[in-house]
Amino acid sequence: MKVVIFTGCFTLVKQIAVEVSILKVLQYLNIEPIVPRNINCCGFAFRSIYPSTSLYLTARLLASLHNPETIGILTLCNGCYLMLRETVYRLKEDRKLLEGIKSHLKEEGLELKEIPRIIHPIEFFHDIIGIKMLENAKRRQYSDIVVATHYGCHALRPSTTPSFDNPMNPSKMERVIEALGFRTRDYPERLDCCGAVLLATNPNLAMRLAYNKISGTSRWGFSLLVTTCPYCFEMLDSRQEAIMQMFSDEPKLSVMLLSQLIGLQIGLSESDVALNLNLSPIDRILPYIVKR
Amino acid sequence: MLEISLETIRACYTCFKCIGVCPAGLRPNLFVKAYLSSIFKEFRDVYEEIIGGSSIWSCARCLKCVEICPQKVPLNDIIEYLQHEAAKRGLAPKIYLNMAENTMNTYLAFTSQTIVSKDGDFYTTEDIRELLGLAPLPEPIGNEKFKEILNMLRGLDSK
Amino acid sequence: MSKAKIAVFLCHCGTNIAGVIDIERVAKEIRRIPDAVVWDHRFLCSTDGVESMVNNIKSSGVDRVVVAACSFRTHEPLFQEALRRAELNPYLLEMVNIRELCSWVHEGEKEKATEKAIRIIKAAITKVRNNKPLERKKLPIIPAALVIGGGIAGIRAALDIADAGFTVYLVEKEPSIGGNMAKLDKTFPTLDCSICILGPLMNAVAQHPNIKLFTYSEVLSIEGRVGEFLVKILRKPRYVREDLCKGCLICIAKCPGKAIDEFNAGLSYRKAIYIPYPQAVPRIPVIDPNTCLYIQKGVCRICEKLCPVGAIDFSQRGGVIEVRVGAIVVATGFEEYNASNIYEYGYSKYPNVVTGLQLERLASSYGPTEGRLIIPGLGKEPRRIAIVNCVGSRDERHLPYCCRVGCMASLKHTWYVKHLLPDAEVFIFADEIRASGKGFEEFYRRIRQLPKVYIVKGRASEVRGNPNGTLSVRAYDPALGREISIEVDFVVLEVGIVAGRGTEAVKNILKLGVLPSSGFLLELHPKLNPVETAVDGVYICGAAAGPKDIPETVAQASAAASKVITLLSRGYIETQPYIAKVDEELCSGCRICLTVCEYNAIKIVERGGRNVAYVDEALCKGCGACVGSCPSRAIEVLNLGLKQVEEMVAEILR
Repeated sequence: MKVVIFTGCFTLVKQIAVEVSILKVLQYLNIEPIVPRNINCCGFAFRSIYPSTSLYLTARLLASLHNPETIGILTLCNGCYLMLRETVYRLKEDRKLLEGIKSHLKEEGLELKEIPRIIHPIEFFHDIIGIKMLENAKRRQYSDIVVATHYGCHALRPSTTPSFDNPMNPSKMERVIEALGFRTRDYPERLDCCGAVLLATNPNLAMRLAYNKISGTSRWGFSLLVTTCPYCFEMLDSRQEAIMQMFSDEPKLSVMLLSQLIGLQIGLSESDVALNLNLSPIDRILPYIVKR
Repeated sequence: MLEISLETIRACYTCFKCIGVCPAGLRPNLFVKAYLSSIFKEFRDVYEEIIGGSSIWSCARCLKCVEICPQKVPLNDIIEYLQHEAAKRGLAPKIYLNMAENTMNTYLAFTSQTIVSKDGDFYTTEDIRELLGLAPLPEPIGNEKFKEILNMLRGLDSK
Repeated sequence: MSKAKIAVFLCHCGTNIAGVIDIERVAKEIRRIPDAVVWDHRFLCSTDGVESMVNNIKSSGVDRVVVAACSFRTHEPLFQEALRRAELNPYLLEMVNIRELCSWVHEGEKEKATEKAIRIIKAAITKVRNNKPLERKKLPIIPAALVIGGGIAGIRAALDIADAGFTVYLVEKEPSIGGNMAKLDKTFPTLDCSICILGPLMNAVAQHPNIKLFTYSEVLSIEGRVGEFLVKILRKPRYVREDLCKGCLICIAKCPGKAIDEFNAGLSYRKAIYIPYPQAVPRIPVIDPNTCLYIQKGVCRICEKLCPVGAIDFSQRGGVIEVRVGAIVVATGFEEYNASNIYEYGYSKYPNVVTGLQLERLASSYGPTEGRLIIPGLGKEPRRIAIVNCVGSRDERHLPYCCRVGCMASLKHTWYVKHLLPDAEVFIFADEIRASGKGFEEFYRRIRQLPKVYIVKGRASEVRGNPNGTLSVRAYDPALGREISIEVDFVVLEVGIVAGRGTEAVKNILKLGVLPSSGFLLELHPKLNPVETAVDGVYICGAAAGPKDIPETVAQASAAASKVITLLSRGYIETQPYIAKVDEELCSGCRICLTVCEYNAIKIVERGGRNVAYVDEALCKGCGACVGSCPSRAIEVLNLGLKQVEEMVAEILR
């Protein structure tokens, strides 16, 4: 099986662990990743300012990333995922729009022959790799570790554009994590926003949102929070210390990427999944997950 | 370019449910009302104040208001519409314009970053990618046509 | 046949028709037809209009009439009566709808509308030339009625019909009648004890010599037509003999079976042998086969040993009985919408979030707590309560319509809390309070004046749990102009309502119409025929026909009953004369028409050694489905013959 990997700008330049860990997991699962170099920004950040520019940028990705030998485009960033699924939806609905885009693409020597499948990492593990496979691949049962899931807003919402799970009550990430031998539990802050979008225009507010998410989640005694999105990871992991300091609080929530947790559970090493790039307090939970 | 369904927006019956759910403390319902009332001279100032203010740029795009709205009002569309109107008046935050500019020149919105590890080591993006055996960043070679199209589209979007 | 002379009456309907259609031009055009005479009138349906019509028909000696006006649905009987008075057979009338089908829909195109009016009037003239005089036939009626559903609507309708002297078969799917009203503690705005006003009516049903009560029963099938319906009723096995049981309830005490109590909305457990509640009618227990140890595992039989009269009978099997009735009332009621679907309010996630109906049971003296208000799962009295309105209602994601009882229920529920726990704090979250009934606004004011009651005029945004078990309700308070988060220990959701579970099955059996979003039954006309349906002899009432409160339900039930009584006391029905007729010469007996007939009105009979189709006049509705299906063109609907249709089409296309 082959799959195209689309990192998005932010994973590419900042959240390296997202890319590293997924590539290592794919290698273990015998799936061949195609990592195209000719990528571009999806235009998410300035989509309201330059709407048609953003639409073109995303449609351009559909053309340049598409590879008919693969199952589709595994999109690592939630922002890119929203842009791609929305664009796919719009282009399928609107023939005229599609024709206009195609003519611009042609000028660049690109062709949009068919619209590829856009795959979210959670969807990839749940629907394509499958729960059975993960259950078989797991090394240990961790009955007392309870994991908080964080899907990220743009993985599921808005429900007007179809996604891979119920936008108000998703469950696929829970089933993936349970297949790995951990427990999960619903919590009120589960679908809350990390605030990352506001980093550009209102960083203080962004930090407040992240603080509410982290401190709210911490009330429930989870061992670990797991996400897939590089932006959510930036807020909840990389910046956790700064955020907590801003509100005279302490870092208290261990955060990992789903691909890191899967990697560790199937026997990859900490450096395989770039665990040294996690800045949240994961040390206290690691002994329960990794044999040292 | 940005099409919003007026019919659905007018369906808002001011139940305020969207406000209580907004994590950024915004009043999505006010954006709807400001837009709909702007055709009456008495309320024009409300609209102008919102277009010129910072609240429309404080939306975290969490899309919770859209999910929770009992009348399925596309609140994200109305916010993006107001942002677009503001942008056309040159009121868009600089940082977004820079990101668009970066994208045109380098394909990417972001340039190289500094990355810190748990052990306190500092890396540039290029260094750590090489160290971890990842492909280098894309190179903007032969992107004249791309630039041309993007420039043209940005021009259209600004009108 | 002598050459017909046709009277054509054009109605202006004030400006409704004449404001768009040029009546003068139409009249001029129609007058060119040699055998037509034309009159116009500003309001043809006025006394003066009808009078002039009768006189004109008589004096001109016409033998056919065309009325170009509005819909035959509302006005045909009036104009047919005019023909009768002018000594013409009423079926020699043809109505052309130049209002709904022309002036109203072509308001902006006066020229074309006039043109269209001329064409369709000409087509009607062509048709009426070949209309034949028809007669209605009288058929007898069985002087009995079926009432489906034993809630307050069904009870009221059954009592009214039975009081008029007719036999009523009342069918209820649950072990007792009473419906949702029996679950309520009190009723708004007067705060009457619900069971205290319902109980006497339930007993009256049980005692009434004209009412045959079938509880724990369901309607399986209904065949026939108005005046003569054949109804099959499934009687589920009670495993307790109704003829022997004295209602002492000794059997219940030692039963080891345990099941969720449906009557208490899942808030308590009941035994395998049980009566739903103390005032149940009939007071005869029922054994739930899914939890009975003997039925499941072959051991126990304690109830059998305890029963002093030997009424327990495990050998009972379900039976089907047949009854014949002349009319049917459907009163299948309502139920709460599934509150778990409104994810943001946390129902079924938190034990201390309940629905309005669950609160009724908690407040009820014969509920799971015997009238003490206790938080389910926490076992203590609440101190701070949030009541959330419009849960699922007025919501395009769930139920687009207003439940019409939630606002008043929320005020009533506030009163329950303040009455039972005077120190408790109550927060009502409601963007609007709809208090439009008699005494409702006054009740609203009364509740507002209670101490420690706060009304937030904004919809609750969400309900979130806290680690200490409390719940935070978030909203925006427009009066304060700020977002609020209220920490409470108990949340009551005023959930929207949908048609009762049995409605769907009855709808399919009787081929009734429903509103797609809600499953509520459709009336024949929302204003003029609110309890009649498109099926003759079938009437609807109560919440199955749309959300409504108890007074409205009772009024509607009496209305449906009076319709039934009117029908049954007349003693006969008149068939409608537009029925299908088979030309036996042409019929090949291929049976295709049998397969398309929705009303089972066609059968095959032998005529002179050949099989041919035969139409039962009493069952045929004249829908024409068989006409379209017949490959031999052997069936026609009277006064809508194939030749007539072809000529009309040709006239319109001319």
